[in-house]
Amino acid sequence: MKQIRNFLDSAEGIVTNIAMAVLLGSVLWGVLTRYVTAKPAVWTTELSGILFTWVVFIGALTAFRKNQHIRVSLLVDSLPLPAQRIARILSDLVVLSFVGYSAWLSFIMMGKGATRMSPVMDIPFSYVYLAPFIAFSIMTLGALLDIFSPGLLAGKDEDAAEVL
Amino acid sequence: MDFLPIVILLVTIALGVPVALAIGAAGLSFFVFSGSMPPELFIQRMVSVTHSFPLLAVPLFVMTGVVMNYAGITRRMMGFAEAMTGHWVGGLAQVNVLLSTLLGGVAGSANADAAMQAKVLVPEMSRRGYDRAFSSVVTASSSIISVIIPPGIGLILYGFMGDVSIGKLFLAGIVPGILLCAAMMGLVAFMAHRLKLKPALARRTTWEERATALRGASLALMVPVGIVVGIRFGFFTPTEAGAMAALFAAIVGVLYRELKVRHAWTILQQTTQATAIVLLVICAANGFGYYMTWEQIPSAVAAAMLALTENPYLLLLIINLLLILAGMFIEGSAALILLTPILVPVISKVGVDPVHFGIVMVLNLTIAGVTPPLGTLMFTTCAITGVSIADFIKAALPFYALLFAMLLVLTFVPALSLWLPNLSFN
Repeated sequence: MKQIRNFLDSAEGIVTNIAMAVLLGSVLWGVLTRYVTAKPAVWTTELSGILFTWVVFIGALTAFRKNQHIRVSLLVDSLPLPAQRIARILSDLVVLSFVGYSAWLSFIMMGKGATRMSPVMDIPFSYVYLAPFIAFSIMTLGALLDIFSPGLLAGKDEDAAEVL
Repeated sequence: MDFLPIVILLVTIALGVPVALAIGAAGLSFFVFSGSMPPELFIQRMVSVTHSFPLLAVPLFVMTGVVMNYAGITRRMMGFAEAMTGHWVGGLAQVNVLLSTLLGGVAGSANADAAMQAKVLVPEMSRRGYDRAFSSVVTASSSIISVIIPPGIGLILYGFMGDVSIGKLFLAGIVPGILLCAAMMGLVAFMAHRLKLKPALARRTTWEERATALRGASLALMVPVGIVVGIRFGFFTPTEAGAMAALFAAIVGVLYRELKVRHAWTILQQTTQATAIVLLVICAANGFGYYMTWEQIPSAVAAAMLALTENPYLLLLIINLLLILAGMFIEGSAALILLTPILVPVISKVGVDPVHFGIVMVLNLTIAGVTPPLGTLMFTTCAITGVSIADFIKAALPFYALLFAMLLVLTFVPALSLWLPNLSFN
């Protein structure tokens, strides 16, 4: 399990970080070509959008595994312990059904996107919807494992929450 | 009208489901149960958010802030702030406020600002005999300034959700931000005399020394000027400004010989994580927004509120109270994302400028960050400085009074926000 966790940590990190770096370059290239060359690059906006999808959904997956998404624990924490446990189970069920169903819906969108091309770069939209599909699928897996043993895919904590 | 999604939203948030997933589950339930459209369109709505060019400004300005810390810009800004105010009574507390304002002009996240200053400035303040709780309060409260001074993540989110010009919002934040800084420095000066706090420097720095400090920080200080001038004259969009600010901060870091290649990975990692957490809330809110539009909830809320009163001042007061209440239960950026599309139509109907309201709303929800029960800025700062929440709140009372007074001033004197954007865009 630890190996899977480490693999996810580095694989997700590689995807989001490279996507973010290329995104930055692409926006900069857009500005540069508009002012320096006679023909501004039209593909930069499109590429940065596609990369942003990957940054957001794969990044959200990492945050999901590390339990870093914003939540309101105030009400639950004030409940007596048995009620807290019930709230926890209900919350897990909501999360599991949402991410599970979303994974399936993302899969449908991938199928629909296979024939739809992006206007400038001619990239099939399947590659856009692949990001939420991967993210929601692994979230589903994590949520399932969580029911048996909490925090299996959690990985080590980093202080990303402090940046925003 | 179908109330099920709203019920699901409130119940799941109360249960402790992560806010983004709670909003998503509520929005998706509408697609599933109403049967009026295929449910996979929900995914399409979520993903379409990430194809919005204006929102790309969020990761880019987050990145600028992270780069600055590694580039030595933060430290030089601090040197400059210290040269200006260090000899005053309570000098380090003044440095704390001034630094938030200066850094706010480059990066736009209150939490990052509070965390950085709690780590760097508070230990130094304690060493010179400042009360730890007081130092923590100054750190957390002054970080609010960095949200209002452009660029600010909150302003970008408001502009996106409310369909308001982000460039105008940036310009609108300048005067209120400087005013907030001046007011807080006044309060700190008053408190410092009462608490008999020591100056940071034994004597006034000479103007030559100040010039040296200014030269050290000048490259960094060019960033906010460049952003404002560039957007004002239409040289680039806020998103492009974000990319150039990140690049510029990196170049400055290399020139200062502080930024190393090995920092790149950590910078990217922190940027993508912080971005993904906020953006997932927006993606889910866009899915939920389909339900709100379908059921015409914003106009229903507008009608209900306008039935209460059509006096813009009274309405703004009521909305402010509602926002304070909302800020008690839900984290600031999530509240901003959910409530902006509902409230902008209301205030527009009574003739309040959405640009002005943006400053009010963002300030209001950021103040919730330093007050109990859900003050994220308070938690961040106290977690680092080790001050108990009770001590923090006791020391914070005068600052609460100041912040709410400033909120009222900015609410009822729209000219403070609108003067600059109207001057330049007309």
